[in-house]
Amino acid sequence: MRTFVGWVLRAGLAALFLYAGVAKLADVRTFAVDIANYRMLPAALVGPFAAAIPGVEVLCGVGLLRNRSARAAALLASGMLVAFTVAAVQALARDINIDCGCFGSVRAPVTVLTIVRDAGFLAAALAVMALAPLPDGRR
Amino acid sequence: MGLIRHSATLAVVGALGGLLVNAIRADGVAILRPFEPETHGATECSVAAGPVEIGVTEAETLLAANEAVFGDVRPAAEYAEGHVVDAVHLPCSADAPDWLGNVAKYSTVILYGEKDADADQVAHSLSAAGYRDVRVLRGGFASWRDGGGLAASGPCAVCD
Repeated sequence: MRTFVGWVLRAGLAALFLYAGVAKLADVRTFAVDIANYRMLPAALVGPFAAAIPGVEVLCGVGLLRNRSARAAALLASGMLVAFTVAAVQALARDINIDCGCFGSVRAPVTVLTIVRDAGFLAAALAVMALAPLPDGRR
Repeated sequence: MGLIRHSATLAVVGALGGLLVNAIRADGVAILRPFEPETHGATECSVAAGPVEIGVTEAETLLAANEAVFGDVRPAAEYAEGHVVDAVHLPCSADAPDWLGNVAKYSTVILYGEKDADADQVAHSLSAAGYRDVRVLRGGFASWRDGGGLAASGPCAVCD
C-alpha cells in the first residue's frame, strides 16, 4: 500500500513539474514578466531565474520518476514549493494583484487558494521523500 | 548529506539546462542585463492589459511613509469636493502636466478614479511614458473614503 501511494504521489508530482516546466519554457518571456511582477528579485536576476527555473522543474519531474533520484527530486520539489509559497504570501501581504505565472500561459491570479494549493503540493513532496525508495533500492 | 548533495546537483544541472536552452533559442529572455518588460508603444488612454492594482491598506502605508505620489483622474469638481491628501489632479483628457516631470520615473504613482477603469487608462499612459511603478487603487476613491483613508478638499494647488 505504501509503495502504491508513493508511486501515485510521485507520478502526480512528476506530471505537475513536467507540465509546469514545459509550459514556462514555451513562453519564457511571459514567465520573466510574471517573476518581475512579484517584486522580490532585483531586475538583474529576473532573466536568469526565468531561464533557469523551467529547466529545474523539468529535471525535477524526470528525477521523480526514477527510483535512484526520487528522494532527491522530492527534496528539490519541496524547496521550490516553499519558495513559490513564500512568493505568493508576500504578494498577497503587499496587496500586489498579479498573475501566478505557475503554469505558463494558463493565467490565474495569486489568491489564498494559490497558497493552499502549494501547501498541498508541498505535503505531497514531503510524503514522497518519506515513501520513495533509497537510491540503492532499499525502502 | 548525500541526499542534499544529490538534490543540489539536480538543481544545478536543471538550471544550467534551462540557461542553455534559453541561450540557443531565438525567443529567449536576456540574462546578462537587468530585466525590462517589453512595452508596446502605447501613448493613448487605451490599452487592453490591466495595470497592477493596490489595495487601500498598502496605499495608506505608502502615503504615511511619503513613498508614493497619488493622482486623481476624476473631474475637477469631484476632486475639489474630496480627494486623497496630497493627491494631484490628473484627468485622463490632459497631457502629462509639467509638474509630473519632477516625479522620478522610479517613484510609485498611485492613480484612482470613480471607477477602476478610469484610472486604468491614465495608468497605461504613464507606463508608456516610462513610469515604472504605476498602480491603480482598487475600488477608486470610494474604497479609500470607506476605508477611512486621509482625505482633503479644495482645488488642486500644483496643477496649473
